[in-house]
Amino acid sequence: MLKYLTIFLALIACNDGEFNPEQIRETRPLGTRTEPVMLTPGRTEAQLQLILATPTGTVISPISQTLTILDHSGGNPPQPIEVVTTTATTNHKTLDEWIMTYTFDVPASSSEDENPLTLYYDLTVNDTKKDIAINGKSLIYRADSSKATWQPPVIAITKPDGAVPLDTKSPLEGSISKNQDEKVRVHWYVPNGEVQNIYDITTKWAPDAAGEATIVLMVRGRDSQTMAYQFKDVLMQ
Amino acid sequence: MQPNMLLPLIALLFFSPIALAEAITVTVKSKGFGRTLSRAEVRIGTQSFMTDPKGQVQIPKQNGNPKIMVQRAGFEKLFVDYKDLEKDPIIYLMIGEPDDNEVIIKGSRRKEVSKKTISAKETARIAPGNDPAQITKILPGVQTAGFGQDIVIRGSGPDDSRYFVDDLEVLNIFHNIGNISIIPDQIIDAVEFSSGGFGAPYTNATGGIIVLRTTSEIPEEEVYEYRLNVPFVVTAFHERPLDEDSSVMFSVRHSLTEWIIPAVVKKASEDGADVTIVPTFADAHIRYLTKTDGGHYKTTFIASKDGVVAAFPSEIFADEEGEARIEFTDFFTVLGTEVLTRLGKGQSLKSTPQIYYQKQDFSVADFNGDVKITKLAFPTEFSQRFDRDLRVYAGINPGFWQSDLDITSIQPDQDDPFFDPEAADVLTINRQYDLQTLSLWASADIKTGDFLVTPGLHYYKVSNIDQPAVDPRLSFRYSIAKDLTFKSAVGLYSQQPSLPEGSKEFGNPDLGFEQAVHKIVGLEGKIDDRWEYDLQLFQKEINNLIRTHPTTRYEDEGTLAVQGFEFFLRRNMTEKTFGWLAYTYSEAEEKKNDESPFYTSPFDQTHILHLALAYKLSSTWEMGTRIKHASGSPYTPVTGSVYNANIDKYLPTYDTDNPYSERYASYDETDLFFTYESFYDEWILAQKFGVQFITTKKRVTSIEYNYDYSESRDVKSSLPPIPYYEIRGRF
Repeated sequence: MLKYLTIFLALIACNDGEFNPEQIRETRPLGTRTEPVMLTPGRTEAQLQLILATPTGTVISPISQTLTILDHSGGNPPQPIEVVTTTATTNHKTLDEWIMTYTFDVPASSSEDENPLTLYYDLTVNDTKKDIAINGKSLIYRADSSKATWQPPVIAITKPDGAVPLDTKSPLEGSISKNQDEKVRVHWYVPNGEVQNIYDITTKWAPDAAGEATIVLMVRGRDSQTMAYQFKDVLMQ
Repeated sequence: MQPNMLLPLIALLFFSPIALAEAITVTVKSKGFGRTLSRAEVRIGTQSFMTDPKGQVQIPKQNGNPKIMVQRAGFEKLFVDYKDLEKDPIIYLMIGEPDDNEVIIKGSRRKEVSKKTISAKETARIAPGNDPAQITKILPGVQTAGFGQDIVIRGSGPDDSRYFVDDLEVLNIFHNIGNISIIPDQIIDAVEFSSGGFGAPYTNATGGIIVLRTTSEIPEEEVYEYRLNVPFVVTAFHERPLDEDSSVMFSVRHSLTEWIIPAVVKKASEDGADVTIVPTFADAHIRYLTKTDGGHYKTTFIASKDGVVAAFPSEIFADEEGEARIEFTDFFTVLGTEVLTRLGKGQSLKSTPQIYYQKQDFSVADFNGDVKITKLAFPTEFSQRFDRDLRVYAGINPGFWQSDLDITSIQPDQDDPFFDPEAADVLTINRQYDLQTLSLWASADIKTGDFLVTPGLHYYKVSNIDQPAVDPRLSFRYSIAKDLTFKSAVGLYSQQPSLPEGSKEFGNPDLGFEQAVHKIVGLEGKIDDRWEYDLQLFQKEINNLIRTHPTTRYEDEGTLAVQGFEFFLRRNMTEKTFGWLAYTYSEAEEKKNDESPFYTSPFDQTHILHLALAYKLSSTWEMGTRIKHASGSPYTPVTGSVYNANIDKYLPTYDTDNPYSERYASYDETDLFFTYESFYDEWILAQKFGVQFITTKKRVTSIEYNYDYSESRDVKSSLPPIPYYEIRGRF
């Protein structure tokens, strides 16, 4: 048992080693989501969206994208599917919000499982400085499954709601409204300074540089793999 | 009056009640210990009297107030006023200045080629934390593994060695913090350590054997001892004779960390830190000892508990409060009776029936486990000495195991670089494993002239492995000269898979024994009574090595090859000085199967140097130091990373073609300590203070990476030089 505990500890302990994980100084993936929120077998023109935050002016290019579908009804390995890639950008004060959209058709399945298909993806994008690899998976539920109605959490950054004093621990807080009973994963991103606990929805932030800049809150449902995020421009003085 | 008529009168004067009424009875004791001293001289002017076996002497009543001198070898001379003796007729003699001329104790003669025996008195001088079991960590051939208390012996991991208290087998002998073992030092008589090439009695180990031998003597008088070691442990110990042939001992220890750390953390939290790790431990012991004609009954009960509670910022297994919590508890208890019987001339029989119970609990977020192991064992050893040149040994040890697992856990995949613990399959296991083992062994010491040959054979059968292990062993000693011996050993050593490795759910039930071949040659000798040395060249190859496998979880197709040499220079103990120099050079490589190339073993550590020294400055002051210099441990470099969208986290990719190809920097550590003993009439107050982890090159314990593994830096032991203080009262 000690070995397994060690694995747990090793995985979790990695978090302690992330120096300045809260600061966006280069391209940072924020996560992925699908459109519709929950995919179902046979759905055409479904989308996988990769959300990235970059310093203003960064240009993101898709390099490669491999999407495969595992059909649980047979013994075959995951099968590749055709993908069309598009990009969109939204500018914020000091960050750009990039959405890489991968459009594909979800095949039908003869499996009677509640989860008849699983989507696997391996994506690579380039920001002119380096390649960034992203992978993950998304469970696809039958249309009559209650899980097919899952929705992402509704979030909002509630604090700071005014200017943020420098070198002082100020509240950094958000609100989360869950649409289904599940745990969520929180991740704060700030332009500078330190956040006391970047995984805590109610934490503190001490910025160390003045000016107007953008902060980001990302929340991800652990079971539904749904995602919500918000960019917010704040003044530090 | 005729002279012959005077004699009865004189006798009447001296020996009649009238004469006794004219004398006082003086008792001489050792200061601090309160033990009576026989053969102490009490001198009044030109008259000299000696104390009897009870430490008492009658001295005639004196006129006036003459000075009385009291002296005994090994103690300081004392002068007292006669008037004071009349008021208080007990004299306490202080222990004299330490003597550097006489070697007062040495480890017993060792027949096994790589076995070292260190007496309790020796360990008390230099062992880390004054804990006898810790002495193994500064012997040649021993590495310490990472942050933990476990030890690595000649490249074999902690799970590859076996640990005993006398003949009672225990899971481990170290608590998880504080340089503290599971047995109180007061009852340890000696520590036996075999780093390889051990004899036929032992099996199921490819590394080494550590045995904590407890005392088998009835104490002369009762002892109470209370000890406070800040910040680690509080101890209460009591031992008392019940009669001339039996005694009983109790001991209880508990860590202080659960009180100290939260207080420290509360202060740290106010300053912004929010990581809490609270390791705890406790143990209890009871021993009942009865001497019989030529043997004894020694019933021992040990209970030991280690735990850790950790809470820290994390997104893994946490909700929106962003804090992960882990709890782990490991409890075991063992109860056994060692029955030693002399059967006849040169014959003895020793049997130690024992029951062992272990319970491990862990809780990580939604996952938890409860593992219970019960083991019954009946090790029995018969020995027959035919003459000075021939002695045979034989033993049997049937064992019965029952393991109950109740686990809700993720299915680990140690070889998956993209392992997602939250997306991994969840295992719910509730089942029982039964296992039977049988050991049969025989050995003989055959002496011919200057040769001593010890052949041995161990048969080991485990119910879940088809083929039994049959391990022949042979050791050889040849006295080249009076103080110089050549020695050699070769043998086969088998080890069964661990419970997880061999289980259907977590491992591979088709695994067989790991089999090691130990080869050792060496020289040992004496320079003079004070200095001894031991040089050994060793080579070890473990075949059928069990390592992780991407599809079957575990396979037994690997090989571990370790070679090197050890040098041990020992300054035998006098009252004044004791210490040693231990150096180990080793190379350890392994491969997963015959097709794969060798790579550096995770336990490879090229150079390890220990210097340990204790020096008694006076009868009350002692100073000591331990200095260690060691190569860093190897690690597998990270080559890149992939952002895993499911867990919102970058996961590293490793250079799997070159595992353990990088190495942390070498390091050194020095401990310095002083002991001051205050001797009161019937008790001793000992104060020990020192500083641990003084260093010029801090130990690198790991590599820390930034969020996407594009930057890295060494994580050095964050331990600053730690001062500690221990106060001990022995009554």
